[in-house]
Amino acid sequence: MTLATMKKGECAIITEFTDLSESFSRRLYDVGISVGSEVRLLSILNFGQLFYISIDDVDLCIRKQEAQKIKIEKI
Amino acid sequence: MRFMLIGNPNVGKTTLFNALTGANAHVGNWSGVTVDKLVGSIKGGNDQLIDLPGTYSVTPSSEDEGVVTYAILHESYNGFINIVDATHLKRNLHLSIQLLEANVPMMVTLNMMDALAKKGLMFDAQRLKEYIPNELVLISARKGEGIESVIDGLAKLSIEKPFKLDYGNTIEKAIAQIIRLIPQNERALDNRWIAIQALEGNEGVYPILPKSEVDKIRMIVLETEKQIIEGKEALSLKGAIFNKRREWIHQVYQACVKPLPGFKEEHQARLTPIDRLLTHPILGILIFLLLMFLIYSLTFDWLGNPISDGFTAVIDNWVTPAISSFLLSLGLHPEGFIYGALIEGVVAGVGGVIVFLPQILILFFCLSLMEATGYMARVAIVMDYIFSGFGLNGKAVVPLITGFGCNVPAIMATRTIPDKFERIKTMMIIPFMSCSARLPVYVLFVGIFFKKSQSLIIMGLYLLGIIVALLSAKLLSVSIFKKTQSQFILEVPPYRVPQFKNLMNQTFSRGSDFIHTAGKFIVLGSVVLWLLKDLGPSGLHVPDDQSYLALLGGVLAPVFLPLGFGTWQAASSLVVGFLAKELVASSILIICGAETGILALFTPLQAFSFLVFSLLYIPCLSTVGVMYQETKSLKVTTLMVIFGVVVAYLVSFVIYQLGLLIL
Ligand SMILES: Nc1nc2c(ncn2[C@@H]2O[C@H](COP(=O)(O)OP(=O)(O)O)[C@@H](O)[C@H]2O)c(=O)[nH]1
Repeated sequence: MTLATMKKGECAIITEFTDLSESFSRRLYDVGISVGSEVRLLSILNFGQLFYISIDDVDLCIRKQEAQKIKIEKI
Repeated sequence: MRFMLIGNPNVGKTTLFNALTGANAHVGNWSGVTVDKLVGSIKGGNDQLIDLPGTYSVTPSSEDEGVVTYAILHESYNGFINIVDATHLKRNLHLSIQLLEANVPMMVTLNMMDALAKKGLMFDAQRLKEYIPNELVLISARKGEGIESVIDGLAKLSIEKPFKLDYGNTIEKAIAQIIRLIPQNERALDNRWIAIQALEGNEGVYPILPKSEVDKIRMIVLETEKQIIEGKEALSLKGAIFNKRREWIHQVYQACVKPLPGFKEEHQARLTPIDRLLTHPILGILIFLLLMFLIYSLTFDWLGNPISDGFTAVIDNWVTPAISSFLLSLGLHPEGFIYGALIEGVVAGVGGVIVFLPQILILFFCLSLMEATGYMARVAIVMDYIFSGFGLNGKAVVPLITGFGCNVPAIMATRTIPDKFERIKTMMIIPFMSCSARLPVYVLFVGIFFKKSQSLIIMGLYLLGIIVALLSAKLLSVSIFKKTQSQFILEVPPYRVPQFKNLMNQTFSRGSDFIHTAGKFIVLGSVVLWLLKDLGPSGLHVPDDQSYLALLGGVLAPVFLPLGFGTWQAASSLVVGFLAKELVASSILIICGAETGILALFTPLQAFSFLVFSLLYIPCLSTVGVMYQETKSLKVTTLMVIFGVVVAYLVSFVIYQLGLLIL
C-alpha cells in the first residue's frame, strides 16, 4: 500500500520510504514527515496528480510520483 | 546585547520583529551569503535584534535556510529568541530542539495564543517548564499581547540547566567521538550542537573545523549511518535523530496542550469549501487568471500609469530644469561634457527608475497580499499541474508572475525554491516574462505598424513569452538538468487576514531592493549610453550616425539580417536595450528621428520580428547583475545570458522566415 492508493478522508501510518531522493526525504523531515507519522488524506487534486495530506498539524501537497514511494498501513 | 530571532516560516516572526523594534530596522549583509540581514534595535534599550529567514530546520535545504547555520556559527550574539507557532507546535518544536541543543541563552516565545484559543485549546506553560527550562513567554504578536514580557524577559536570559535530548546508544557514542575531534574554542556554542548537526548532515558546520578533523568526522557520520541501518534502528541516521525528537515532542504535546473546558477537540482536518474552490483544477485556474487580470489593470491602467505620468511631468517640468539651472549657475557649460553626463546621463537615468516605481510598488503590494492571505500557496497547487509537465515546480509561479513586473525581484523571489538546479532553471526562463520595461517598445511599434490590432499583438507577445519560457524549461529539463528531478512539497498555510502594516513594510522593502540593485545599473547604463551616443572617433558631439554607438550597431547589423532587421539603427538600439529594456524604444526613436523614420526602416513583418527579438533577447543589465548576485557563479550567469540570446535568435529567425514564406 502506498500513499497514492489512499482514498479521501482515510488515515494511515507511514511505514517506509522507497527510493526517495536524499534531498526530498530531507524536505519531508523538515515539514515533519517521517516513518511512523500519521497521515490523513484531505483531498486528491489536479486530476489525481496531487495529494493533499495532513500530518500532525501541517497540511501539505505532494505529487503522485512521490506519493507512490511512501508506503503506508491503513488504520 | 544582541539577540537573534529564529523561527519556522509563517509563524509571525516579522510581526514580532516589528513589534519589538518599531520601524527602525536596517538591512545589512553577511559576508559570503546572499541573503540580507535585517537588524533592528529593541524598544526601550540598547539591545539589538537580528531577524533570520524563516526555516524549518537548522540543517539547510535552501539558500535562505543556510543563513541560519551561518549566523549561529559566525554572528556575534548573546542569545536566541525562538518564536514558535502554538497552533503548529508539533512541527515547530523540531527547530526549537535544534536551537536548544546549542545551549546558548534562549527565550521561547509561543505565538498565536489567540488562534490557539479559537481552536479550543489551551497551553499549560507550567508543564512545559519540565521539558524546556528556558524563559518562556506566551504572546499574540498580532494583537501586541505579551510584547512587554518578551522585552523584560530578555534581561533575565541565562542557561539554568543545559538542554540534552538522549538520542540512544549508537548516536550518543558518535556524538561523544565527534566532540573529541572538535578543538578547544571560544564559541559560546555547545560542541554537542556541532556534533549533532554534523550527524544530521549539516554541511555548514565543516568550514569552522580544522581540515585534518573534517574527514575523520565524515567517517564517523558514515559509520554511524551504517550501524543505524544495519541495526534496523531506523531507515537513516537523519531518520533516527528525527524519531527521537518526535517522541519527545509528542510527550511535550500530550503534557502541555489541553482542550479548553467546554470545547470538543476537533480531530478531523478537512478541506473548507473555499479551499475546494480555489484548488479546483479548472475553476482555480480561472479564478487565478481573473485575479491576475485585475492586478494588471490596477498596476498599469487604473492606478500605476496615471501616477507615473504625473511623476514624469514633475521630473520633466520641474526637477530637470531646476538641476539644470543649478548646474549652469555653477558655471558649467551647457555644451560641456560634465553637464551632458549629469543631465542626460544621471538625471535621465534616475528619472527612468523613479518613473517605474509606482507600478512596481503596486504590483509588489498585490503580490504581498496574495502571499499573506495564503492564496499564493493555492495558486502553486493548481499551477503545479501545468508546470510539472514542463519540469517546473508550482512554486515557480510567484517568481514568474513577478517577472511581468520586473525581472530583478523575480530572480530574487526564486529563493523559495529549495532545489538549486530547479531554482537556476526558473531563473533562466524568467527573462522571457515580458517585464513592464518592454512595454514602451511594443506600444511604439504597434502604434506605427499594427494600428488595427494593437492589444491583440501586445497580448500575443506576452503569450509568446510565456510559451517560450515553458518550452525552454522543458528543453532545459531534458538536457542540461536531465539528472535533477523536480520535486514538490508544498506546505499549505491556513488562510489569514493580512495586516496592512506588514504588507506595506514588505512592499517597501522589495521596492528598495529594486532601487538598490536595478537603480545602480540603470543610472550607470544611462551614463554609458550617453557617452556612446555623444562620442565618436572624431570627438565630442558627433552626429548620431558617426557615434561609437552607430559604429557598434554597424558591426552587429549583419548578424540580424536573417531576422529581418539588419540595420545599424535597430542593432544599436538593441545594444542600448541591454542596459535597460525601456531604452530600446526611446533610443530607436531618437536614432530614427521620428515615427516616420521607423516606418521607413521596417516592413510590418520585420517590425514584428524586431519586437519578438526585443521581448526575448537578453536579460537587461540589472537582471544579469542580480543573477550573478544570487548564483555567485560567473559560469551560471554567462550560461543564462547566452541561453537567452540563442533562444531569442532562433525564435525570431523562425518567425521571420516563416512569415516570408506565408506572406
Ligand atoms: N491569529 C494570529 N495571527 C498572527 C499572530 N501573529 C502573526 N499572525 C499572522 O500570521 C501571519 C504570518 O505572520 P508574519 O509575521 O508575516 O510571519 P513570518 O512569515 O514568520 O514572518 C500574518 O498573517 C500575521 O498577521 C498572532 O499572534 N495571532
